[in-house]
Amino acid sequence: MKVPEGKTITLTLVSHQVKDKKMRWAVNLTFPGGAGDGAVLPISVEDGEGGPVKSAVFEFAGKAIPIKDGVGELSYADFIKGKHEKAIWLKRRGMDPVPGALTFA
Amino acid sequence: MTDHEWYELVKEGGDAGWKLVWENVIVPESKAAKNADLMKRFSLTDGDLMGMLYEEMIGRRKIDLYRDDGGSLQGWLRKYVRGYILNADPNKHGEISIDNAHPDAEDGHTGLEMPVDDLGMTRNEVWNMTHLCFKDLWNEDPERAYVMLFKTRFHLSSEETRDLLEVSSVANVDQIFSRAVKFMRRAWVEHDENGM
Repeated sequence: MKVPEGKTITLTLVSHQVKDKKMRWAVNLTFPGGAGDGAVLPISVEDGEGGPVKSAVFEFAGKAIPIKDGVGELSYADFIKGKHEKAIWLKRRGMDPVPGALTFA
Repeated sequence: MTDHEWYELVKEGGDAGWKLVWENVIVPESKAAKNADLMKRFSLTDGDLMGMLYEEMIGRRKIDLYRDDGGSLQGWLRKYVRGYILNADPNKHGEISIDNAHPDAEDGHTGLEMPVDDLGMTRNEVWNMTHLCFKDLWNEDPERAYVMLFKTRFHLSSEETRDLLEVSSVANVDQIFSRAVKFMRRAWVEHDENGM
């Protein structure tokens, strides 16, 4: 379990294209170069207008990850454990949950 | 190493053969002055060329077309790479272009050919289709989608992908990748037939 030295990899996940722009979201999940066992992968979450999502729960890799002021984190070990999990959701208080997908971007 | 030995390694799709492809095919072609200029104009990177060659040779099994009878494997692969660079030229795809201008007006002034295809639209469709097929791949098994992404988008080797995703072996990574490519191709045809 190791990210190649000197290669930081950032995955981008985005919401399905819901009509209301405010409902949309984009998440960056970063694998820092050289990260191994015990590492934590930082997550940043923006809403459809480019601002940080204040408070939410990001469901990914089978975990419910709390997001506060646009940031959260997932342990590398949990990512590996959940690498076959398909569900991706962002749940915000007072808003309908919005599903998303991993992108090529 | 003989060309035959190299060919066998390239066919396997592993790093041993493809490292040599990078050094002996991609790097010299991308460094050639004429190609470097075209690549800059068409926003093409050496990583793009490597990805295209890998996809064509391993993903579409074009490597099986190589006649392993003493001809230069390097020369054969370099022809493909030169083709990718030349085909990246939008003037070859019917886009309105000053290069396509010709003096066909009766008054002798320069006219512009109207495009037969809209390259921008085609690119958009290809991009949308890629995402659609990638979503299908995710729904089949997210691990396959990760392997596809790490190898084609981030150009990680099979060893690096094995370590990053904790897959049991390099051979397993290559197998997952090969299945992912096949899946994407099948999904592409299905979506194409159903009008996306």
